[in-house]
Amino acid sequence: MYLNPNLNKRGKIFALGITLAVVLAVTFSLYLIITKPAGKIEREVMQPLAFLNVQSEAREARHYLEESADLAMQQTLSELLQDFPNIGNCEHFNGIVLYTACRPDVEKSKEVFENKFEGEFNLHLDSYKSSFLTLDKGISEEAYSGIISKQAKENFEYAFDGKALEAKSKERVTYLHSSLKYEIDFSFSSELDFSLDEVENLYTLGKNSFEKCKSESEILNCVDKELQGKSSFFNFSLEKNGSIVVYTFTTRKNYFHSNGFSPLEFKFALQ
Amino acid sequence: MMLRKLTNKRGLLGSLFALIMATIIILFILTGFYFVLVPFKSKEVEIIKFSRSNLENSQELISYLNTPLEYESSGVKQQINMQNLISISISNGDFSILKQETDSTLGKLYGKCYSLELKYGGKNEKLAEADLELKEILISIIKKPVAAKITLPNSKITYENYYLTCLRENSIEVCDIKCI
Repeated sequence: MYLNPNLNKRGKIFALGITLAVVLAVTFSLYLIITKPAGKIEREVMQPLAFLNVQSEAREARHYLEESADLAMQQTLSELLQDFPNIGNCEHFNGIVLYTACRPDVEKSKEVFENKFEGEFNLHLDSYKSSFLTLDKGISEEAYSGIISKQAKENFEYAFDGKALEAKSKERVTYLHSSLKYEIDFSFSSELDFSLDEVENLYTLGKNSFEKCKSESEILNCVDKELQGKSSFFNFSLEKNGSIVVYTFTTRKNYFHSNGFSPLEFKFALQ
Repeated sequence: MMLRKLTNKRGLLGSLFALIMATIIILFILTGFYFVLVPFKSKEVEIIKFSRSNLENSQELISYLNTPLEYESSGVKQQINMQNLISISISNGDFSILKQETDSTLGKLYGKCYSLELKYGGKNEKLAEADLELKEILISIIKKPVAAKITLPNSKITYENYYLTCLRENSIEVCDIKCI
């Protein structure tokens, strides 16, 4: 039995060659098949979806923010009408302010409104919890909630003219995601149905009607006639107690406040 | 002649050996790929599922909450929206009008194929509930409903819509027959 050692050697090199060629070809094909589409999915599917998720969260947050602002406007109006700032030294009758030596201070009320609003609004923002149903490890629900309860909250500058409130974002709020940065301007505006100047109007109506009717025997009837149809936003009722007439102005519309959804009252007395 | 036969045999054995070695190495590499790349693949599937359901309906839920309504209380008529009605119902503890209004907006479109639940102050109120039997049939076909949650200043609302999910794989006519 004789075997040519050269043939044996050639056979081995040939076998090794085939092995290496097959391994390289298959590895390269697998690399192309598996990694390229994964990279494509990352670029063309996952990143745009992550972007849309952030956008969706921002849209929900904006909705929450605007609703909270409307609610806070109404709650603030309710508180303000119950304890309206005045100029002068006010006396009181049964807990109702007596406008004899004082009068409503509308300018001051705008400032008070702005401060009270900020307090109410921030309370709502503090309790924001993102509903983001995340399976994405890039960002958590807490992180999204924090964007509203911390970053957005500290970021507003308010301007209130007695009816409309403008809230401007000092900086654009940023949602940071592993692969993207999404910036949004949460500036908003909200408006009351009537200006706080209407309170000055109610005071003047009350004062003028009282001056005109105080010498009349049927003072309430006289005041009632004087006030009819004078305010588009308030209904009124009157009550007499000795020489004092109590004016109760009630909004025609309902508003949200701490006790539910009902008309708001502005009360004062004249003597 | 004898020698050529023997060399052929060796050559064949060598090729067989090469083939076996290549198979083993390929299997080894494949195993490596499996462990390295499968986590990426499953993550991608999760994100696509989540994103679809979340994106499609939060917008719809917001539109529902912004639906304008006319509300009358003690002779006073005023324009409010569905979200205001939710707050009013929570403060009154009466959800009958809210359920009625929900039915005339979402119920008109999705029949028995959607559910809406309100969570407030530790309580739950079901405003609309999907038909259980139908839900099971639809789930078995389409796996997951379109679902969303939204936080409101005084509550949280959860929404599931089987009609919209049905539309992903069926025509409007088919989904109407199943749901409405």
